Order: sequence, then structure tokens, then C-alpha cells
Amino acid sequence: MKDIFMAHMGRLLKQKFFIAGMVLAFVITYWVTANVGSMGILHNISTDFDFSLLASLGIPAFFSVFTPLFLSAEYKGGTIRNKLICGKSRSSIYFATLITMTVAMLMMTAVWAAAALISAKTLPDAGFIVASIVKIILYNTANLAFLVLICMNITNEGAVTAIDFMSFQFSFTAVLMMQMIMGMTSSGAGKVIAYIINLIPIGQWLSISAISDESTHIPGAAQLILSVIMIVLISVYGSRMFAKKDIK
Amino acid sequence: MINLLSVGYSKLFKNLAFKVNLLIMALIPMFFSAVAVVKNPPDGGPLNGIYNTGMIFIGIMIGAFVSLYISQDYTEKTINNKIMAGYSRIEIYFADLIVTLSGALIMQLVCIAAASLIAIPACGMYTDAIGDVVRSQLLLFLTATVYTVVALFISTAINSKAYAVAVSLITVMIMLMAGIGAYDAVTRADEVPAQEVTTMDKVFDTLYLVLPQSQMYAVMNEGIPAECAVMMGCDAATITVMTALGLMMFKRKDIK
Repeated sequence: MKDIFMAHMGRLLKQKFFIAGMVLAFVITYWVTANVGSMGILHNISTDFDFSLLASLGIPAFFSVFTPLFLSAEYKGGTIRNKLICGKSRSSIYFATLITMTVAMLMMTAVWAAAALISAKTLPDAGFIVASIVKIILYNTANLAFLVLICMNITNEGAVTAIDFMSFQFSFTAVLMMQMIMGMTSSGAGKVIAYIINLIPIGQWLSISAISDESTHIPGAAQLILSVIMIVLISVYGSRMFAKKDIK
Repeated sequence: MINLLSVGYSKLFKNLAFKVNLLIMALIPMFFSAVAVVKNPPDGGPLNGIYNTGMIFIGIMIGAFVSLYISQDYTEKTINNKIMAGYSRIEIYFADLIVTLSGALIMQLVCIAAASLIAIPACGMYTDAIGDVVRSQLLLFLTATVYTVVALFISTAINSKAYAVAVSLITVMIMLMAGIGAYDAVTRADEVPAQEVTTMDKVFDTLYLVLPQSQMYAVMNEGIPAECAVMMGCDAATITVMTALGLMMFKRKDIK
């Protein structure tokens, strides 16, 4: 597993698209945090860090494009077959890939956090910042678990790219649709929908960002538990599917 | 050309991406119609214009479907066979354009039918003037055509399937967000009392007229926008330019 991980990391750090993404993550977060406040677009803002949280949507957006482009080379170049011939187990290939993508996401989250902390003139207390970063890491890992599941189990590179990108767009739409349904239901049903919204990574982003409706908020601990459940379930299901896949 | 179209349509109706897109284009307007029906008071009357709501997603759908459809020709090397069979590149490009445009038109019709399936039985027949409906649908079809020609241009220019899909979807997404931004800026500027017009206002005004997504939002919220004719003209110009550029690029492309 370590060999596969190191090979992936070597390839990752040479990817111009990834490096460009990291630079963009810094520039966009810096600009949004420093400038959007003066535009007066949002009103329920307590500190500049709220704008950084808005900009953090760029992380799942970037990985919905980058993950398929990075991983489709595995099937296209026949690398995955070579790894199997070398005696690597399917679960080690799958989890090494997931860990590589998670490390890539951690690097981007670190860049985002650095830009946010440098550019924000007003910051909340340290506990809130740490809790937000932990939530961002966990829901983005859940998102990556889904993206990797698709990339490792579908061979058609175009379809993989389309599904991964559209999963981002449609999870956003699904969250907005569920918010519309919440407005028409009782508070009990609304609570259930709020938990369903927080099962979706983009839903968690919405509920921690300043543009969210109070009704989507659930306790922070519950958000973390939901993310961990999603990571475990999706990863286990993905690796089992990959174990049964007919690789030609 | 007829043979190319016949093969193209056969491929279109077997294309899984197209079928999935049609399903999504049916489900989304059905959801919006159902929400509107629930929110409509008992004497609220027909839900005029509800059939346009699903169209806000057509850009993304077209971006995915066109790039997957076109790149299939390159991965399966069908494009080489077409050229070897003696078809000119112009014929191939226009056949692809006609087939993908038909796909976009079918998506638009599915969107209208799906929304009406819930809205008409629940709230009665629409009372929109037929002329307005035709004009709004024509404008919406032109906006879908803009997305189609852009996605076709990108998919033809890029050989890698994954990159063709990614670039096409990102471009559509940028057009979509810029359109929404321009629409918001123009409508917000209309709400506040007259003030000095800045360069930024002029940029937003131009984007509002040119971008397909702002045109869709204008149709959805206003029925027939006041600048309908100008918008149609802008769409026609974009379609012509993008098609000409696509053709020029495709004629010079080195196909291996």
C-alpha cells in the first residue's frame, strides 16, 4: 500500500492542474475574505472568517473535476492492471488511492486555512475555527470517498468525469430542493430533512456557511458523526465493488 | 449527409448519457411543479410559465451530453472511418450539430411536458398568450443552441475524452454563474432609484443580453423580457461565430 501511495503522491505533486488549483485556492480565498465584506452582499455576517467559509466551496468543486482527471489515467494507461500483476491487492490499491486524494484535499484545506487566517481582519474564537476546519476536512473526505468510488469502478473516463462533476452540481440542487420541502413540512419532518441535508457534503457546507437557513443547522457533533458514517459506508462499499470488478 | 444523420440519430437514442439527461430533465420540472402546486392557493389559477423552470439546468445537461456524445467518435475511432468513407469535414460537423441540437430540443420538450403533467391537471390549463409562449420557447431554444455550439466546439477541439467533458462542463458552469450574476446585477440595479451608470453596470447590461443563463432567468421571471429581440440577435450571432470557429478548427484538425 505504501508503494502505491508514494507512486500516487509522486504523480500528484507533478500535476500542473493540482498546483494551479492550490494557487487558485489561496488567491480566491484571500480575495473573497478580504473584499466581499465591503460589497455588502451578505448581511448575517459576524466575522470575515464567514467569507472564508463561503470560499471553501471551491474545495469540493475543484476535486469534482480533478479526481476523475487524475484517476482516469489508471485505467487509460493500464496502470491498474500492472499493479495487480505486481501482486498488489485490490483493497490496497483502492485505499491507497483514497488516502492520496485525502492528502491532496488536506493540502488544499491547509492552503485555504492559511489564506483565510492571513486575510481576515476579524476572526471568531479559536475553538470555532478549529471546529470549522475539522468539519470541512471530514465532509470533504466523505465527498472524496464518493468520487473515488465512481472513478475506481467505472472505466469510461468521459462518463466518470461527467458523473463526478455533476454530482457536485446535483448535490447542491438536491440540498436546495430539500430546503424548499422543509418550508412546507412540520418541524418534526423538517428536523429529519435537516439531518438528510447534512448527510450530503455540500449540505454541510451550506449549513456552516453564512448563506444557510437556520433550519438546516444541526449540532456540530452530529455533523462530524454523519461525515464519518458516510466515509466508512462509501469506502467499504466502493472497495467491495472494486474487488468484484472485471478489470481487462 | 443523410447517412451521417441516420447513424447520428441511432447513436443518440442509444446513448445512456442522453437517456439519463432526459430523466433528470423530466424529474426536476416535475419537482418544481409539485412544489408550486402545493404552494398555490385554492383560487390561485393556472401555473403560467412553470414549464420553463427546468430549463435552468439544460446548460449543464447539454455540456455533459454533447461532450460525451462527440468524444465517443474519437475514442472509438468512428471519426476516422467517416473521413475514410469520403464524407467532408463540413458534413460531419454539421451532422453532429444537427443531432446534438435535436437532443437539446427533445430535452426542452421533455421539460415542458413533465412540468405540465403535474401543473395542468392540478391547477388547470395555462392562460399565457400563444404568441408569448412561442416567443419565449424560441428564445429558450436559442439559449440551448448557444450551449450546444459551445460544447460542440470544445468537444471537437479536445481529443482526450475526460478533458473534453471537464472543460466543456467547466465552461458551461462559468457561463451559468456569470449569467446568474449578470441577471442579479441588472434586476437589482432596476430596483434602486436612478443613479450614475458605471462601467461595471454597462458590462453587466451587456452580459445580461449576451449570456444564455441570464436570458433563461429573464424568461422564467418575466415571461417575455423587454429585450427579447436583442437577446435573440445576440444568440444568433454567438451561434454563427462559434459554429464558424468550430468548423475552421475542425477542418484543420489533425485526426489520427
